[in-house]
Amino acid sequence: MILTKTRIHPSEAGEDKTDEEIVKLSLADQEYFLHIIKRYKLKLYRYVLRISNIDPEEAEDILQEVFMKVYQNLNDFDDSLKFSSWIYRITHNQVISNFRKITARPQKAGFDIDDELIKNIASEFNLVDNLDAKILQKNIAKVIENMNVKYREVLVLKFLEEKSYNEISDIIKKPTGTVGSLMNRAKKEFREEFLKQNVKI
Amino acid sequence: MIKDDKFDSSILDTIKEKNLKPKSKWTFLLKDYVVWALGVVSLLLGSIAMSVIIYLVKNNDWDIYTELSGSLAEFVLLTMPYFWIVFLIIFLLVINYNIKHTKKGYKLSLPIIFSASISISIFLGALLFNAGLGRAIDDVLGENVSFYDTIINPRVRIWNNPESGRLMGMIVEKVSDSEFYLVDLKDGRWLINIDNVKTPLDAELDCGCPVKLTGAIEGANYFVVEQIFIHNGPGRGILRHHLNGQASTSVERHRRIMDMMNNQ
Repeated sequence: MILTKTRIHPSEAGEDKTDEEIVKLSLADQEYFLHIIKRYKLKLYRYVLRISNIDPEEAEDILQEVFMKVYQNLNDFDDSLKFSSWIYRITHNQVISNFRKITARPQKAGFDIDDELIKNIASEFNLVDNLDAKILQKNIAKVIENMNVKYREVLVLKFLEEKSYNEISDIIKKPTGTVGSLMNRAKKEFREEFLKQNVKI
Repeated sequence: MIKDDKFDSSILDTIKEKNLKPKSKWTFLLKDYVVWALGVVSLLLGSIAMSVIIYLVKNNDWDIYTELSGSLAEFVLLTMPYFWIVFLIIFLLVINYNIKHTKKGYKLSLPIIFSASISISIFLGALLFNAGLGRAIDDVLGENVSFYDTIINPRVRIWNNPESGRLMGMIVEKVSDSEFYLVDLKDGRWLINIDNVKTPLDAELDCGCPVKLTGAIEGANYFVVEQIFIHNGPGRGILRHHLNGQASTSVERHRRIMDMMNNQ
């Protein structure tokens, strides 16, 4: 019997690997990096849109830069951190470094939230349930869109990206206690703005 | 585009086209080591500043503050070592910056970093003070830095005010048991009379002895003393600096005086 040895292409070989394993493999063969892109591109794309309100094309440009930086800094990844926190941190930094450019332009994108996340936010904030789901969605999106970026980001990370306080602390590089304070102030601002929006309806 | 494979392949293509490579591990390690090293150096410099602060505060004229200012608060404000405090604050800020830029530094809050770095500075500063570093630095700066009495330790000027009854300087010549010549910080030469001293000193007053006096001017460059103190604290260096000029006529006397100061 003749055994033939076939090499599986990295684009197929890494699917069952953890992020941390993929990082190590990518350092040896850049083709494995494709798995990182595939796993995170949509999550990070949404995250960029949610914290910056920029248009989709610009978000894609930022994301391209993010993945380049991630690739170049793979050796800086620290195993004591979750890979997702690390890649979100790089994205956060990239958005912040583009922040002046972004805020100088008119905001073009709307805020995209799905139904399940509306439920999350509505239950967290005890929002009135007599509102139509569409109005609720529109109001939540509008309030978050108009919030100060530092408050908006912690709310996005907590309720839309569903990150823990520790992960948020790792992403925005602030102590957990500061994340807690930011979250409290963000919730307060959200609640007040949401009430104002409802009054306007 | 983000939802299809073109986006993924375009990133890999760009990586290949630009020939991008992951930066080597040592680049990041080196950055970490530099950040830590700068933090440690700042902590040491802050501790050195603290050792001088301890020296200046400990040797402040606490026992006669009522004669030097209106109240304790005024005296504290007047004699606080501002130069070294600013120096210390700068290094604490640098330490804070460096710790924040270590890998896990962001986990620590500002009050924790500040209280820890102040505590370590006090501890190390006390050790360095006990080893004599605070005094040595004050001596060297007093002797060699022209702005010592204006910026570094302006409190020596409190004692450079004979019109207000305060005089500091070096005994340069003994006339009798009750009179001697003194050179002050402005190189003024005074005849000093100690007949009316309230509490006579146990130590013998000899040439080269640095003294602080309270009393009054009773004639042209004639000062009658009420209280006399051997000055062996902050500002010794500036007196030594003046002494060098005064003693240049006699090498032997100069050597004797310097030896005496070093032994005090």
